[in-house]
Amino acid sequence: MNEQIDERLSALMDGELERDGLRFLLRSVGSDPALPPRWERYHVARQALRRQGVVALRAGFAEAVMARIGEEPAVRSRGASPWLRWGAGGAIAASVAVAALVATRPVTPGGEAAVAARAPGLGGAGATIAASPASATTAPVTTPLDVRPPLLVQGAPVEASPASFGIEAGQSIVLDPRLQSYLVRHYQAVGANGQSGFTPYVLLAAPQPAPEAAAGAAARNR
Amino acid sequence: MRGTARNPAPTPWRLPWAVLFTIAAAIPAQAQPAGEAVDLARMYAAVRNLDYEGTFVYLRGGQPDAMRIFHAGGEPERERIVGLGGAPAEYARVGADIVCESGTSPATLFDNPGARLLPLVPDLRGSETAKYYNVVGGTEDRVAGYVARRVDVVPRDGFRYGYRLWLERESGFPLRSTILDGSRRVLEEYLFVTLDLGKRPRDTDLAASSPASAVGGSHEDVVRDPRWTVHDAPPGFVRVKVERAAGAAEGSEHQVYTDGIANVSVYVEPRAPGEGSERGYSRGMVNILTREAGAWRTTGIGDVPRATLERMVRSVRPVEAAEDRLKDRGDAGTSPPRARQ
Repeated sequence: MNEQIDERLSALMDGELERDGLRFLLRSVGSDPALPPRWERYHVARQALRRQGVVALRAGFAEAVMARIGEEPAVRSRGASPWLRWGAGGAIAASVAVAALVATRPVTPGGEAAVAARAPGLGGAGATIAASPASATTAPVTTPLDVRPPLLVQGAPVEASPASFGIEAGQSIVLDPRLQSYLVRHYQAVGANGQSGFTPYVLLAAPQPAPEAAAGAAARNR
Repeated sequence: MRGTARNPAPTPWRLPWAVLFTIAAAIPAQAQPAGEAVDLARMYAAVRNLDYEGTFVYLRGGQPDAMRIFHAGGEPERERIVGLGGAPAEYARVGADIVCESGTSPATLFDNPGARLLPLVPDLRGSETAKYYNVVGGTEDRVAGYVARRVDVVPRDGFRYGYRLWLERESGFPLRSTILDGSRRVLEEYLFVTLDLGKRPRDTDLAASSPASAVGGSHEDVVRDPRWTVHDAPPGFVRVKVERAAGAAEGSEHQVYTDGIANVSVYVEPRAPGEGSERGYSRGMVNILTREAGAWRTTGIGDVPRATLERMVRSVRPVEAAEDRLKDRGDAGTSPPRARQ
């Protein structure tokens, strides 16, 4: 599901999203408050990749863009030409680079454990990683692991996404307080070794979900 | 669950260089190619000591974020990262003090000596590191307008992840870093798109936007006589810390293992009634595995593959003396089960 939405977001940024896809996307926006911020995030990332001046967008920018996009079907129903349609989409965005960047890790039940189990005893072919610098980041990726903003915890703040985790089935959840506490203590312990970078602070600073959401997450995590 | 606890060391990089790799694995740590070793040492110093400011894109768990970083070397070292999209977020550090502000949460202060904000910069200075990672120099490339030399840090087995680094030719500054799993998939990545190396940021750019109004983190006491041990840790992972959270139940422990780059925390606590058996979570390079058995719950957290966590979590045992004490307390038979074969 998320993969489809990502593909549609990417197509919209490229100005290549057809009418049905646009309608689907707009319906998704209505039901998933995490989508507008994701759209916004992709745009800022694209700006940065293009080395354009990156500025913090005003709050609600994504909603405003989505509202404008929401008017698109009406224009099309009046018979806008394909060129106009392309132009409208293109004016919003166009970036293949971001499409490559949003490619994510495939779902492999058991993760590397499964890989490890399949490949015992193979010689250490790891003397090199890959010949081309680009190959690591642009290699085709199959099914993306869904570890996006919390979709199962209704009402959880969007900005809690750094603390959300994918579970084995590929769903996305917000960790219960016990595991959040474990993460905090883990990063505190290893941070002293200078190993951690800012990642732990993204996790630590993530707002806690509403009590009922946290309780739900805790119940699911058990 | 998948996999077994005692699989032979899985192999991550499937390239037809088995023979060369075997030879490379036999080279002692001190024989690491001097050029790459020097590059990595310079990298670590550059991140700490240089003045710089720039913008990078950080990809984690499939989500791209653009971020602005300001850094001033010296004493105290100061830096600040500001998220450019999504909910407002920033992380400002002065020495060991880090102020985090994200969304509507109050600005929170964390005390973390040794911390830094730029992610995915492995510390490869440890003398043992080369036993478990092979460092390979690569070709030159351009990143953010700078000429970069690529260096690959390749794990020698499948129990850890690999890094690919693009280091600025003159200073060694890491312009780009990716972390790769055994199938060469990118788990996390950052990429500078603009960077001014040597530019001293203004004080206003280094200061937190808001003063901290809350204190984060938790206190843990050092445990000198551990009751638990990871019986079958993968090669190279050694225990460096054993702690217990204030107020934690008797027998609870937090143990930290590291191979010099990757870190794993193992938590052992009494199991709550009605909990399940085993559950895993992942995001980017971070994996979590919880296993409940008997009267105890064991949880592993680390920037390591799932196979590593499985092997460690499933092999947690009471140390011999502690096992006697637990039996005296009437907890006989409550230790986590032996690792599955």
